[in-house]
Amino acid sequence: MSGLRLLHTADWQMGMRAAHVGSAGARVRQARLEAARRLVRAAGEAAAHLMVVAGDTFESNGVDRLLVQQVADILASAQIPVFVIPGNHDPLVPGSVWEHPAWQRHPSIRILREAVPVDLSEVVSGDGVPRATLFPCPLFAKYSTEDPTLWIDPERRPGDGIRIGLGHGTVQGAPIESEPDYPIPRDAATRRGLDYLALGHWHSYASYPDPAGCVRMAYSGTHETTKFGERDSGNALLVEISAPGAAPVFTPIRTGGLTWKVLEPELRTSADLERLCEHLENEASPEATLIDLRPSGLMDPSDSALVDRIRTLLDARFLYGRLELSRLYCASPEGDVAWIEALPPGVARGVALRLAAWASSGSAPVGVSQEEGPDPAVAARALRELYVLAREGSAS
Amino acid sequence: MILLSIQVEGWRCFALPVALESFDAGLNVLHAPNGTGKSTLFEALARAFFDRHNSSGEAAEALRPWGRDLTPTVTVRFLREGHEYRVTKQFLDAPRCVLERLEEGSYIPLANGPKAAEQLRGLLLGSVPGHGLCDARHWGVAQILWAPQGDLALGELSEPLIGQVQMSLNAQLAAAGSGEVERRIEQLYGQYYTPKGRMKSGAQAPPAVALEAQLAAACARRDHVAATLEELSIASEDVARLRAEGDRLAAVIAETSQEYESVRHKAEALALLRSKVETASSRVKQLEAQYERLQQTANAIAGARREIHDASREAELLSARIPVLEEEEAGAAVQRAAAQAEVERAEQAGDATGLEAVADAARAFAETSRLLAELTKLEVHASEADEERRTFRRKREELGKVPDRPTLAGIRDTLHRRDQAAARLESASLTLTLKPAPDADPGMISAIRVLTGDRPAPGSVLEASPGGDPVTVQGAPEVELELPGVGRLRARGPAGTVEQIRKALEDSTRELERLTAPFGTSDLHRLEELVETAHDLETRQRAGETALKTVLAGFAEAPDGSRRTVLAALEALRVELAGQAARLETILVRHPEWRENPPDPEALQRRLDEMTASRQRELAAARAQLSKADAVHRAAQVALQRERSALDHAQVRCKNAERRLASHLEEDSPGGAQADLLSPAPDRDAERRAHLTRLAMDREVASERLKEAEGELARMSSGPDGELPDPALLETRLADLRNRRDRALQDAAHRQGELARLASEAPYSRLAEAEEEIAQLTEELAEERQKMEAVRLLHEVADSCRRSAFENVLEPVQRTASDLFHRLAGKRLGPVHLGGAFAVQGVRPTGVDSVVDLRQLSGGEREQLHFAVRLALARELARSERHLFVLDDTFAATDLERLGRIRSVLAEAAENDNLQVLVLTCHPEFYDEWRVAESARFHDLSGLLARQRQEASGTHVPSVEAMAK
Repeated sequence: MSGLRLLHTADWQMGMRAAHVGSAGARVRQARLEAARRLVRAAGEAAAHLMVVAGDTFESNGVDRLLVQQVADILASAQIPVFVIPGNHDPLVPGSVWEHPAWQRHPSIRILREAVPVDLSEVVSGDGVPRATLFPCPLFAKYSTEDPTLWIDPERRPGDGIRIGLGHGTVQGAPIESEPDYPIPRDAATRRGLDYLALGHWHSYASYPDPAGCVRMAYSGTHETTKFGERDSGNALLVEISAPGAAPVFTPIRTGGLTWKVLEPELRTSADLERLCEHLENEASPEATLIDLRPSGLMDPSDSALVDRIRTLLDARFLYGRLELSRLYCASPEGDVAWIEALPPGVARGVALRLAAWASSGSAPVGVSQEEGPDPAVAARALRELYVLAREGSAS
Repeated sequence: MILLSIQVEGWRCFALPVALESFDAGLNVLHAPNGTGKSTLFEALARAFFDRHNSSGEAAEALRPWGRDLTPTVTVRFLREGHEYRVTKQFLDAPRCVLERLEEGSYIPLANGPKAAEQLRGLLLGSVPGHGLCDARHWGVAQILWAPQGDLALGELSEPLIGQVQMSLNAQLAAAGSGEVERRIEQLYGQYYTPKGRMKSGAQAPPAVALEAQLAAACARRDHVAATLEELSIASEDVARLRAEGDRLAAVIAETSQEYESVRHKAEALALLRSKVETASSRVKQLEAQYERLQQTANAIAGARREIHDASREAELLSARIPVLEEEEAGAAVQRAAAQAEVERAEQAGDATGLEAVADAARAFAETSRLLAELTKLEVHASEADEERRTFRRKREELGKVPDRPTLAGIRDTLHRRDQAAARLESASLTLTLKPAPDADPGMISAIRVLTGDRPAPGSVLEASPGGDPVTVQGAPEVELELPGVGRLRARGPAGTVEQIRKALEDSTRELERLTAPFGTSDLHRLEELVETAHDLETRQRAGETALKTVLAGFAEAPDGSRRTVLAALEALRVELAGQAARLETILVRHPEWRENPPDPEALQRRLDEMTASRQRELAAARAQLSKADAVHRAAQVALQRERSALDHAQVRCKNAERRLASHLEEDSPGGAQADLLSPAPDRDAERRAHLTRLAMDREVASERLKEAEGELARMSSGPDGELPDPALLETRLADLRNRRDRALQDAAHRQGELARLASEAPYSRLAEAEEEIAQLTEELAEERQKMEAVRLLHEVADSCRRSAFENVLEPVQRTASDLFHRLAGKRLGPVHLGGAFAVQGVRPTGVDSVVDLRQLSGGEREQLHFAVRLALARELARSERHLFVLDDTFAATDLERLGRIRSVLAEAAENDNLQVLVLTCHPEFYDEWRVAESARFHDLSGLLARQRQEASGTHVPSVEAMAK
């Protein structure tokens, strides 16, 4: 297909903090750089005429300047012109990342510092490449309630060619948790007379068809997933527009390298725990996988060894693993209490029975009164400790 | 733990080595008389297990035998859990502790030094004090098992000991292994918490402490970089703001520059217009001035002309009236002169008689005559009084010196004292009287010599004759006579009193002479008469003086105010008298007839008064006439003067008007046409009026032009922008704006530098790292805290379970103790009651609801009760292991019958309750039953020591061998 091919990406959030993955933060940040490199390679492979970055290239203007240099180098490695607008995370303010001298050293990268049309024919040319104009909407502050695309004159001028908007903000109705920042109408592309409005801000892919069903504005999503539960992220969008007024054609390109998995298995028996162990042992590419394991159900203290094994697997094999046992309750006294019955009668057995009662109280159905006692999780932990002590005693 | 043997050396009373060996696993009796050293051995046993071998201090030094420099050493052999051990503990000198175990027939060291001591303490759960030697509180289970002398009652049990007993009691209900789990729980708890439940600190602190420290440090780093990030944001906003301010100011500067140029051009145009207005205004003013001046001149000429005409007319009228008025004034002057002459005549007529002078002289004559008479009378009285005064003074002077009344009283007193002394001397003197006998030898009495005496004086010779007058000699204090051919006759009285009286007599005599010498007599009566006479004369003299002063009172004061003496006053009286006499003579010289016929002043006065009244009436009438004439004359003068003044005024007005006309001509004559216009000449009046009309028209034209110029100026000044700004102010404002812009740009550049510095610190990246670390540490810390909470919970639940179990077995212990006590003391006192720490609370006799305190029991019953409790607990402790049970002379108050029961109980304990019993006593006969039954081993300490003394060779260690079983 002939026409203009642009690679749309956004929300690289370079240097973002990853407190939710603790010590794996540095590796997650490194993965975002690698994803950016993959994206640049993909642009070349897709023979894109240009690349647009729709804001939030950096998580903050306070990121390490070495990182700025690295990102500039990555973008410069693309053999096509790259147009970048500052987003709300890295707005164009004094002292911002955009003052770094690296941007001046790479002529192929244009940081769009003003809301003025850019004639793409000056940088994008070739056989069959239609004339086009870019309408950038750079941001100059972190928060605003103004539509950043408002400045775009909807009147199509003769020399505009394909009109492409590049903006960053919250499309009305987008499921973004924070309060609307830089609100953008759902029909902004139509209102502004644009053939395509490349958006950034939301980390998942989203598109907005006009009343005729033609999609002329979309979020590409972040190029690398940022957290557990983030859907449709880790991609870039290849957008092809044949002529002014023609419907854009989208091709998602996978760029993310990390896999973020939330596992919430329900355990009933020791066999379930063993199966979970096996699953984790067989997980592909664990070095690029982050696991949030939240088992629920019942666990006998005698299964402590298996729990320890899972913990070890998570720590050793995966990029990051978190094990949340708060919803995993100890087996009730009516359940498997063989190890307690094996304890010598007296204080030790009495302690085990009392702790087991408390530990299992957390699994009581809602509305059913629970035996008064300490935090069931603490009681369960104490019970496991007692189990270990008893086992050590029997071993010696 | 079973005791096998004990050996001491250099220990208190045991200087030489002493060994007690072959203890039986059942009953043992160690006996000896008091002071032999039984309790010393008991002490050595306890110190072998519990004390630090390197203890020092006074208490440790007391272990040495008195007066010897020996090293206290104790060696104990014992059995535990089937193994035989030996402990050797040496105190003070080269202290050491060695724990050995018998292995294959040889003692092999297990531990030495502090570790050995710790292991030994651990055997019986003992503890060690902070310093010094141990006491029973540190003995662990031995606190129950070993009863020191006289201290059978259990003291306050230590917490570990109570725990040990509880665990031991639990053990009977629990299978083997439960205790081990509990121990592991305690060990685990001990990894995190102190025995008091606090989290461990320092090197032994749990990992959570280090994690908390790391977390705090990470939080501090996070806060620091967060602040830096915030600072970066603020600096960025500052730079943006300052740049915007710079841009805004630049725009304002451009706008203000334009305004300045516009205002400057407009100001120049305004200046030109203002100049035009000013010129027009000057022209209008000039024309107005010319018009005003010419108008004023015309008015002045007309006014002067009217003035001259009016004043000339008035002068003519006045000149005609003045001669009439002059004639009226002259007539009034003549009439006034006539009245004046009449007044003078009336005044002169009053002085002609001279009667007033005669009346005055008559009054003076009468007055002077009266004064002269009075003064003469006064002078006579004064002279008489003066003479009398002089007479009495002369008589007093003739009387001479006379004592005053105090002196007279002194003389009278002295005389009285002298007379008294003379009388007393008279009565105190010896009086020796010799009455010559008729047949006395004259040779013997004719020349009697007074040797001592007062009267006659010593040395006097008294002559007596036979049958003649007696001869008397007085003296004091003695009188001595020499009788020729007979000898000396001496009479003596008391010497002291007479001498004093005589001295008083002499003193008073001399005083009297001194007092009376000035008056020429010492006769008191004469002196009194003189005093009275002198007093009378002096009184009369003073009366004369008083009378004189009274007479001369009017002359006592001198003209200058000072007081005169009497004589001066008298002289003044006489001078006044002479003066009045002279005045009278002067009057008489003028009126000699009054010498014979004195005048009547009052009649003369009446005549004078009548003449004076007549003259006054005439004078008043003349003066009234004069006043009237004078008023008429003055009125005529005034009228004449007024008319003359009016004439002068009219003439002056005329001259002034003429001068004004002349002066107008002189002052306002610039010459030419203007001079003609200003001339007062009547032929110029028409021309002047014409010129005035021209001037008025010119002024109207000039005013119109001025209004036009002012209107234009007002239009320009109040244009669309209002008041035209001051260009200088605009220039100043422009400079200020440029300064502010430059400052804003400089500040922006400065903040930009700071911004670059802050950005170079990569605060967000550091923040991300810190927060990730915090998240990691928080997770780890939560894990650790949960584990610690779990361990604490485990411990608390174990403790709770143990307490519950203890409470379950306390009752059996009480029951056992009660059974034992009932066997010893009968059931009368009821069951024994124990507290939570096995403290004996008392007993509850049958039928009594409350527990009876121990103090209500007898001494023997208390001993038996404590024994029962101690033994009951010991039996529990010995369930898992055989233990040594020691009683050191503990039954001082128990009777023999109950002692026999105690023997039985002890025998059963040794037989059935896993206890090795050792009784230390000075009454081995109490345990003869055991000896007979050969159920106990007896150790005779005194016998041992006796043999030792016999065999003391320095190398042999005597020991008590088994004597009976």
